[in-house]
Amino acid sequence: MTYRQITFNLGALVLLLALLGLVYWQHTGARAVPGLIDALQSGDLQTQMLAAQGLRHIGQPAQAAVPILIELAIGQGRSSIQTEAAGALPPIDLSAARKVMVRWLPKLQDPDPQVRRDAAAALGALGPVAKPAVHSLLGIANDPNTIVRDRVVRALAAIALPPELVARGLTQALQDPEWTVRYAAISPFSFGGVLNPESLAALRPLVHDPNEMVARLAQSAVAAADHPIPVSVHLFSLDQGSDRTLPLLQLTKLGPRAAEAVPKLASLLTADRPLERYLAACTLESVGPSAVQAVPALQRTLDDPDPIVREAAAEALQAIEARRP
Amino acid sequence: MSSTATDSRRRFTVFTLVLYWTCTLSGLAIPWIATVAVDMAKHDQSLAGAVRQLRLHLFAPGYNLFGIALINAMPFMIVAVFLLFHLGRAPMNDRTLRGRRSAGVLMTVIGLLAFSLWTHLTTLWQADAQAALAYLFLPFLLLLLIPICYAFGRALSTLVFR
Repeated sequence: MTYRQITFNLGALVLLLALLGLVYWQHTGARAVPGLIDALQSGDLQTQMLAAQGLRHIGQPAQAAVPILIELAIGQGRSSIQTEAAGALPPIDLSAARKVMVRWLPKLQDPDPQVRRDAAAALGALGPVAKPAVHSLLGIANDPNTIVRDRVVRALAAIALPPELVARGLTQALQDPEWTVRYAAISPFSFGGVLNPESLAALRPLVHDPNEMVARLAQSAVAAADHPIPVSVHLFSLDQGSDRTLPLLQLTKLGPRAAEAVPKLASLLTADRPLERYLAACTLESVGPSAVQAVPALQRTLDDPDPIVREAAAEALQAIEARRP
Repeated sequence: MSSTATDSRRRFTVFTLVLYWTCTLSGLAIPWIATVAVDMAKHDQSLAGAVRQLRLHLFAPGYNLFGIALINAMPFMIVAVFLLFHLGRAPMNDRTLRGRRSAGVLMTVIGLLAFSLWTHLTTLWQADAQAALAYLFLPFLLLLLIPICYAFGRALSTLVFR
């Protein structure tokens, strides 16, 4: 082969690589948003769900998709697209997520169990942003319908805030007559959850639960309680991972024991993502008076552009001041 | 130069280019072919349905089949560039050397294709959270496989081209 032929074929390969790179670039990040909005409007359930997941992944730059996501999250469609659309909102727009929460909250009291079930699932999909919904969810924790109770427990685990209230609800669900509900209640304790003495006491008998799956998960949760994950590990995760939601929630569950993380949490109050700023403020609230050194940062956060973050900062300041000796 | 020599040279050039582009494009296509095949065989999808699923999941978070194809293609592209020079600049008057090089390169391409396809098929067939790690390790394993397959091909070729 001549050098010209070799160069030509090499050039074609480079061109192919450049084209592939361009296609990838066009379909990722903020550039993908218009296509994903079209997919949300396609009417095909799977396409819509994948589009919602894509938008959730993109986060704030997907602001243009918020109206249609709200529409899908509160609309009359299938429960799966409602929860997927609701779940996409918190990383994009906290206020929009709260709007969805407000629309679903009254439906927890609906006479139709399917509506109550869907409401609990949608609230759970919103995650920690649906913190104000926890009281209402606890109100139907003894619902006569098993699936509703199951969804309520899963929602409480997903919202996770405020930690004491959620732990109380989950601990109560450990006594549920239905094994699926007990299983759902143990799961958050088993996978990195933090057990308080009351929860641990309620969990121990489940090690001998007649249902083998429940018993096994309870054993794993009790074992996890014996070896709690140190704060330093969560701090390391905060520094390493691109998604800080999980380590922040884990720190929130630790309450005052997460005092070591206060400087890091204070620095996260200026994070780019509103959801991270919100969770940092919520974690400081759960740390309480030990987070006093974060007060100046929290006071600055009272001017945050996001109203939900401002609200969380105000609540954190209140918790730090109120519980101060 | 005789017409036989010219024909031989042309055939060898065509062989080199076919191998070059087959290697490059199959490296890209293997993850997609495996996805479609598993969807059809395991999930009873029609061909059209499986292709639609592939298209939907190309850029979907958690699937990213486009990215997987690009990662998988990298070792294949390295082999393609290597073979373009290795065969493209082989001395035309040394039939034995050309044959041995061709055998080495051909074995490398076949070995990579077989290993990559097998990995993708088994990973998709028994899909779980850990299985996805295979996609990260596969390119490195394929890179390790290149000299092994090449050496094996060259060794085999000594039996044919003496």
